Amino acid sequence: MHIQTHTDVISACRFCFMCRHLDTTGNVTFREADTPRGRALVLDRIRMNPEQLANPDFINVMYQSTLSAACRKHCVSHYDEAGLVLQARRDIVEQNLVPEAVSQLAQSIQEQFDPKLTGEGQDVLILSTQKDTFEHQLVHLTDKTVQVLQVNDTGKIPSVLGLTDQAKEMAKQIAAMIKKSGCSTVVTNSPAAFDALKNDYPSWEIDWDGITIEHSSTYLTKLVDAKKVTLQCNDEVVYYIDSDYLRNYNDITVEPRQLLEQAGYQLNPFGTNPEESYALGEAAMVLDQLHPKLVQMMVERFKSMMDQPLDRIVTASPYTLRILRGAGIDVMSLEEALLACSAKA
Amino acid sequence: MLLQTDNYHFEMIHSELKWAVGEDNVRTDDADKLGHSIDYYWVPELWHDRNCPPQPPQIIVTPETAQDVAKVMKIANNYKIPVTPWGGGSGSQGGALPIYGGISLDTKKLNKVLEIDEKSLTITAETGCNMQQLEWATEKAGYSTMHFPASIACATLGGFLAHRGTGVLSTKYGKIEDMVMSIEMVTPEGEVINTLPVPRHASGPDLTQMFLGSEGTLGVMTKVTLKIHPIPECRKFHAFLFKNMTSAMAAGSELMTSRLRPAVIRLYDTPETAKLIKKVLGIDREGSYLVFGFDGPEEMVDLEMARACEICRKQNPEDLGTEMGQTWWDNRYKFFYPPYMFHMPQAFGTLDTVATFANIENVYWAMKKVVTENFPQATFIGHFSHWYEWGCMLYARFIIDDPPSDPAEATALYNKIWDMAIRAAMDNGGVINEHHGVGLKLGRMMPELYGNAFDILKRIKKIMDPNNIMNPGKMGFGN
Repeated sequence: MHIQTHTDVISACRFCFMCRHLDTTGNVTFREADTPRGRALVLDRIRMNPEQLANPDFINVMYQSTLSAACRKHCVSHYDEAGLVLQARRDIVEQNLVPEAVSQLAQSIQEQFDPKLTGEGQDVLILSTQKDTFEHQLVHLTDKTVQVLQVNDTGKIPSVLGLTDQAKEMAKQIAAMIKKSGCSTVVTNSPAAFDALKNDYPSWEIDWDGITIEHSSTYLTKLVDAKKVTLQCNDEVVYYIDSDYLRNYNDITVEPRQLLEQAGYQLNPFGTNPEESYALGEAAMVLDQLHPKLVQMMVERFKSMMDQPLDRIVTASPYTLRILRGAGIDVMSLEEALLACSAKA
Repeated sequence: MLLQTDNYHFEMIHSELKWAVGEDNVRTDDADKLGHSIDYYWVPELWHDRNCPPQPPQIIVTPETAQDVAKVMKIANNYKIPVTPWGGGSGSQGGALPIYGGISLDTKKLNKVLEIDEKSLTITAETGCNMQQLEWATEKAGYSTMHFPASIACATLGGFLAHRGTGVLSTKYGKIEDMVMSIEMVTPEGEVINTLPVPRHASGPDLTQMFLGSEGTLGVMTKVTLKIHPIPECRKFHAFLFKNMTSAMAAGSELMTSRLRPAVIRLYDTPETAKLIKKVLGIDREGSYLVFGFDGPEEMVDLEMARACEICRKQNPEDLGTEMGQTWWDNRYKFFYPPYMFHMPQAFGTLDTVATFANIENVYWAMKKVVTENFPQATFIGHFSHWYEWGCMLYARFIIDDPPSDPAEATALYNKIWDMAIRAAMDNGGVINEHHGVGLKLGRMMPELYGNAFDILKRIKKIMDPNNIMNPGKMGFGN
């Protein structure tokens, strides 16, 4: 079983309660099972009694996890509980126990997978998982000609659902197109796509051959530092919501805040603490489709953490943006916030 | 009555509970039941580790209001079903384990912060609040509960009330029972009651204090008003390494009897200094590590700190300075994370005992003697962690690296160490215990500890809970 690769995590987490206050799912369901300890206990039972993997209650717990990795970041030893859950999902898939809703989602992603490369330019390739948004914003900011690779997903969705083979196949195609483009830097505004290219692809033995993978926030920070883009405008108060993939998977917390401050925004801390994930299930990619009620509960918790109902939120995560916008909360993407107050140097 | 889940009567009760508190608040799924079958007590952990069948509740109920709790109590009383309150599940004494099955009453949905009274400096909150979340909310308002236990991230406020918990800064700010103004409680028969709104009065015996520490045997606490404090202007620490524990204890007790007001003192015996202080803080020298801290206005802190250092220097310790004190504070919770915390396959227990300064060292040596002489396979270490004007708490531990693989044999060995060590402590004036509670682990010791006064506790229990539905098998009350 794949979970055997994480027995150190099972052993460490199964009796440990020290991060339960940060479990995004547990904080709204209040279930013991929806904490790193609860999931590790379940997986320890399965490790000892593999037939119990078929228990639908146990499978459900694995797919309710947001994979936010806030607990891993908090842990003084950084035990990879999110990684353990991903391995459990792989085991569920490989033993043909995957829930029907998960299969259908994965199939739909596969059917819509049709990556398209457009534009010109040698230097920068923009990888976009949304239509007509980020690439235009970046072109507007930098006046660069760029190539754009438009995809519905980088393989991240099947990967987090446990369908690693499907994810690897998608990754291979995308990597081949990027290499063929001749670019030296890939920039994406999607934290999930960034994490896929930066971390997942190399773990699947895709060698980037010197191509740099950048999230838009670090890329823009470099442009601002080099005085190629000037950010300026107002003193509006905003609340920046960290992306799980940026903060908890890639330690990118400073750059987005720095950009907003350089653009004149006053940043107020959101909620009561800097550790909890408020990304509403971003790292699970499709939590809103698999467990809409759960995400709705997370939205309610989010609202309860706002200082005022009209607070203006900024997020680097397109997923979080979509969920918050759907809930009627005033929210801007990081690029929208920057574009609102920037000028070409 | 023990519930059987495979018959229609179970479904009748299941339906009644769902009607009373809502379908989303009654759960029977295997994953959650597994989580409720193990707390932080070593024995159920061992049971799980050895792949023995779990002992879960039949039903988990998550009430959202005190009235919901009352409805559950009435149903449980009607059918005489055991009800075991569950907060964060992080208790080390097995107090939250549903050993007779029935209903695990999970309080975590009682999680509202109801009021911060900035004039009186109090906070009123429901008892299912996670303590760290509550502290963060308090800090956002500009105050602090000053309750910083190692279990802050995992335990609920109600958990601390239930077993009289304590935090790192207890020496100045008190244990949880010192912080409480008043409580709301649901009795075993489903009545919602409130204790008097202030903790100092002359209106008869103190019901608040009677319910605190009752570990869910006398009902369920649902709401509490606590004192809160301004964030102190500064907090400073200093550490010394003494030649031995006795000289460090002399310094520590003089700090307290001189009536200085440290927020914290912690003294590690020589073996624990060698084992844990080295591992966590990197201080690799022989001796007894003592750290203390003061907080408040800086001039007062500096003055008290200077006086405290003077007292310590009388024993000619090595001065580790402020940095090694601050490092301890910064890492105070690190001791409890894996792999720093003791863990399977080790067997380990915290022989929490409290005594006066006149007795505390005798308690330490008596326990150590019993453990090391009778159980050569065990290591004995200890530190003194919560200090009062009259004495302090001994956080002694035994550790066995390679306990028997058979779970029954391992449990028997484990219990024997507890039986002998705790009785040695009691014989020398020690009280079990200071802040971990009694639960399942130490219930059998209660009649010995209290003597004939225990009968009074039993009579109170009988009057409040005539059907003995509340947390049966705990606190020595039997089933």
